Amino acid sequence: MFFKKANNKRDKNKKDDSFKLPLSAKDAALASIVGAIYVVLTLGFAPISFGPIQFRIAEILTVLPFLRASTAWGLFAGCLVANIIGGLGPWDIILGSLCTLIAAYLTSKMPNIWLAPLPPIVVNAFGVSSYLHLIFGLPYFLSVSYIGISETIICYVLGIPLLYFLKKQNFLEEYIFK
Amino acid sequence: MKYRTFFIPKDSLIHELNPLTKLTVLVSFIIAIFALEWIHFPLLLFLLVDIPTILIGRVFKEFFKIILKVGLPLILFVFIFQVIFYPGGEKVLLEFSVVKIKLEAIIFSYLLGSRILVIISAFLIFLLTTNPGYIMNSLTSIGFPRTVSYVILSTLNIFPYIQSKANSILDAQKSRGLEVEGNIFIKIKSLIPLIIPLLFSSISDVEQRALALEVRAFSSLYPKTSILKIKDSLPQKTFRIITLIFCLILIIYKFYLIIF
Repeated sequence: MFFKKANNKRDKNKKDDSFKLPLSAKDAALASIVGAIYVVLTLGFAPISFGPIQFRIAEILTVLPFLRASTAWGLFAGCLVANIIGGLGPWDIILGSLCTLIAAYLTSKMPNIWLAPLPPIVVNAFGVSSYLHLIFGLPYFLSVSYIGISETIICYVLGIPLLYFLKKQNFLEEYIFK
Repeated sequence: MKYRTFFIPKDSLIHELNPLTKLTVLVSFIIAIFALEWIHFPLLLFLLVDIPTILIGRVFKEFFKIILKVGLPLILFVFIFQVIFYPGGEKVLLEFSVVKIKLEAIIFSYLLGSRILVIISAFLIFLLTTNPGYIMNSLTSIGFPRTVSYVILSTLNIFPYIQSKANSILDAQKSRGLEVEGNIFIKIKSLIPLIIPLLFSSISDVEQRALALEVRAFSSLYPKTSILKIKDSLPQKTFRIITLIFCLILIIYKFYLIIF
């Protein structure tokens, strides 16, 4: 099992429409667990997870919707809860988690592994900086580059190996969604 | 594992209130904190509203346990981090070789820190005094998608459980010689050995959770009825409407100031 070669591309025959509401029981349980892991990782690295300059390790999980679209709801819930506890305000709670949801949905539509981490980088860099700019008066392109660089490091350097490993293990299909 | 959820069942006025009323107050707090620019306002709100509410709700001990354990380190770290790395600002107060501590940075960090304190404590009071099932019921009663509200609330409820799981995985990895404590780079390096066992062991819970949900007809498409009747009263309804109108006025005022 460990030596099975991973398939980089999405299976075209299998259609993943688990993003649609209402979620099935398995999808809802999976989503809530992914959300809880997101919260734990965000709070575990608390000092660098919040604030205008942030390096949120939990964003590594944004690659998961590539495997199963319903985890997008989990990331949304996790981001919502983490931002409520983080406390940069209603903008971060509502807009930040909406950014995550949109990015996660786009990730679930990406055709192959190498493009999967792109939406969280683009959406967060441009979306999050625009409200940081409006509310805290931080320079726009400075925060675009801060967030862009940190997201790129997390999603590509840490996220791709994780996604590659999970895809090779094929664990969601094998253990849960048979 | 100390607690699975935050909720502490007790008999008090705050526990009796409708979850929607508490949620409205929470939202109005957050809006007021960010709409009003006066920098001492969050701290004042904490002392005048949050503390009495904790005393009335009789959750003093639990509240301070969690605040000291989670809130205070978070606030301190965010404060120090923002003081050092705040971009911009001109008035330099102190200077150590590379680090310049600026007046603007300190004011911003103070504001941010007190805001975090107020929001965390308000939110914690809400969680400590409200049954999670009631929150979900009242949210779905105002038209929120049922499965999404389940996912959010269950995320809230199971993250202490996942946290204890993460700690036991870290302990196990430590015992085989993995370095997990120390500065932030060591922590990041220990991430992959943490996250993969965490994902796999948590995913194995999905089956059980899904079964438990399915037993209660989670995926049935018929309209749901509830055996829980949540208390609501006319004064609370009017209070909610008035508070929401005030919030709306504040938001419009704030945008008016930003645009003009």
